[in-house]
Amino acid sequence: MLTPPLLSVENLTIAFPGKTGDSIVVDGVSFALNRGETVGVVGESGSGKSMTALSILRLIPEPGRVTGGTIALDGESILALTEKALRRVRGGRIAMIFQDPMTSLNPVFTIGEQIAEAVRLHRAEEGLTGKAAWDEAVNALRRVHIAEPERRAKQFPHELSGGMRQRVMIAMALACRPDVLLADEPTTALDVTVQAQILSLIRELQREIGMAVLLITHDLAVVAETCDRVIVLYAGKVMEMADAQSLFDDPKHPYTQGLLASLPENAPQGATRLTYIKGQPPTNPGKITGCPFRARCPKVIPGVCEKPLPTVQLEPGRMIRCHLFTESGNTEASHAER
Amino acid sequence: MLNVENLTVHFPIGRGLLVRAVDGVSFTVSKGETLGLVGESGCGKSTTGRAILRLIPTTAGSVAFDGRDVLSASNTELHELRRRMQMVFQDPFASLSPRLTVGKIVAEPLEIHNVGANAAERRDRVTELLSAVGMPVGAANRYPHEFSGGQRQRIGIARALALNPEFLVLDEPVSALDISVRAQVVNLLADLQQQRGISYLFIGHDLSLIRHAAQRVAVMYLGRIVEIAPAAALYSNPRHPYTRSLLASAPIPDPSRRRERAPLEGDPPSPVNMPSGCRFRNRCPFAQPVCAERDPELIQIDGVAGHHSACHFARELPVWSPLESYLPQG
Repeated sequence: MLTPPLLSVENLTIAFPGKTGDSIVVDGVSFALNRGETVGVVGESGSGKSMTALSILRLIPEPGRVTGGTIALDGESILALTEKALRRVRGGRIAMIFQDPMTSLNPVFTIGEQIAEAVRLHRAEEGLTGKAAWDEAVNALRRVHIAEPERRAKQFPHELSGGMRQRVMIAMALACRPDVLLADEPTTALDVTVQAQILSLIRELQREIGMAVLLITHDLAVVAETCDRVIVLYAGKVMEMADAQSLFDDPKHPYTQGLLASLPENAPQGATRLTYIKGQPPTNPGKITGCPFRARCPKVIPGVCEKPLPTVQLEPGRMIRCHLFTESGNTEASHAER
Repeated sequence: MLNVENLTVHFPIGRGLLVRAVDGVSFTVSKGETLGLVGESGCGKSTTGRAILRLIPTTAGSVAFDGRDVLSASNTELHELRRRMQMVFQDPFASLSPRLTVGKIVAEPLEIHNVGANAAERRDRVTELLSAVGMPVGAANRYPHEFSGGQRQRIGIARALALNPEFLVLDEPVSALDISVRAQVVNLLADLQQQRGISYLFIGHDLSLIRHAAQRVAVMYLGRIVEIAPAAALYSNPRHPYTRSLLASAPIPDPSRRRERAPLEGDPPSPVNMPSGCRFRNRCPFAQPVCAERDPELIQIDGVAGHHSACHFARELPVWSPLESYLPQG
């Protein structure tokens, strides 16, 4: 019998009620996260990537709600937890960091006090209370390479640079030794040199405490640098899932292909124009039946792509949702090419 | 076409302290050329762009556009120069008034500069501009919030093009856009440049995008240009340690080229309290005692016309080979 994955998300659907009916922002998303691995969730704005991450800690903003599916940590449903049990998971077994550290740091407390509070809340059984919790907070700052951690611990968030605040947020998230780190665009607002510092810090700490990381980002280069596996989201649906090397070497989905081709790094040498995906992402993806990418897809098969999206397992660990890979799609595609 | 000499912008912040945002920057932009200006937040790249258009006051230096002095121009002269020099902003959500229709937004520069005999003529011009940037028919009567980020940026470009400018400052024009839309806008800018011979100062922090978009690139650090070169030379043979740190920090979209880096340590010093000598020396792996004593000037790199680096050891740095720092996977 296989051990269940650390975190498993099955058929997750998230909707926001509106005047004209529900707007579905995440539609049947399934994936698993194993101990120690880093999985990237890539997508553009509106793809549902942040909502997916937020739902894991039941943090979807009102009036949004999970309308279907399950989320389980070590086989135990997170959606069924009581508020009290949920508080122990949040910041304890599952920690989250955001793009803007000021949203998770309280401006009126020193950073040392904020980290110590989290330690007292989640690690009191280890005897980490009072002064011991403060010392652990200083240690946490030292681990994220903040110079003079004793002095910094007594400072307020506004006294630190952006890169340092991001490191403080990571220190706070990791002070409770979580099993899972949800990182939502953790380096998007940072400069490249600081981004490199933060990404290498996350990797280093991951090796140290063996946590799993779910990295939400729009940046394919960051994914290529850090992730073992990748999930590509478009309009609330998983389009493709693969190990990072296969995805970048041989993207199968026309959307993934389009994304990779549009990177300036992948432009043919000397080309003055970049390859691009025509059109815009849909504004209300829930309204679309069939493949949500078909209006922009260069390989669209009329009469086929309007049908519900198939899920095709190409090989172990490699999944794609595209009509081109089903039998009807294949015949039609070879037809169209002739 | 544009000649910037020793441009300096200092902001007083009280108690006699100065933020030296831009501190003696010089460069030129030729007709039809794109100069990329890269650097990290706070390096002064956006301030440089704004100072050139006289959107903020400068402390010293000169800006000549087509031989005419921008900084000392009278109001009438400036009004005339502004027809020829325009700006596209980063945030397509903040830079368009939500209360004006798209048509009004694009027509505004025409009205201010009395272009077009009457409203009907201006309307035709607006239609033509919106179609040139690829906006759908009928966009003129709608409001900015009805459009996506990429489309809003197209509206910002149409507004900047309204007066047929010869020079555009592009301040991070695609940074707020999704990847699949980013390439569309970059192509649009390239097409417009080709059709109209416009010069661009392309400000950005995305090194691979600037490499694609610019013929020459200037790298800024703490208010100074530390290296300037033709794009190919800058990326294949960077001659300033800071440029090397930037290039080594940028992630590569290919897992087989994953590399373990020695990240650049620390934060940039405060622009209020600069280190003596070279501003990069506190973080520089090549720093020597001389770097604390003398402020390095831009020196010519042998063999490449127009390649300059402000490092005492610009000519002695080891051969640049990013591939050496790549580790095999696993």
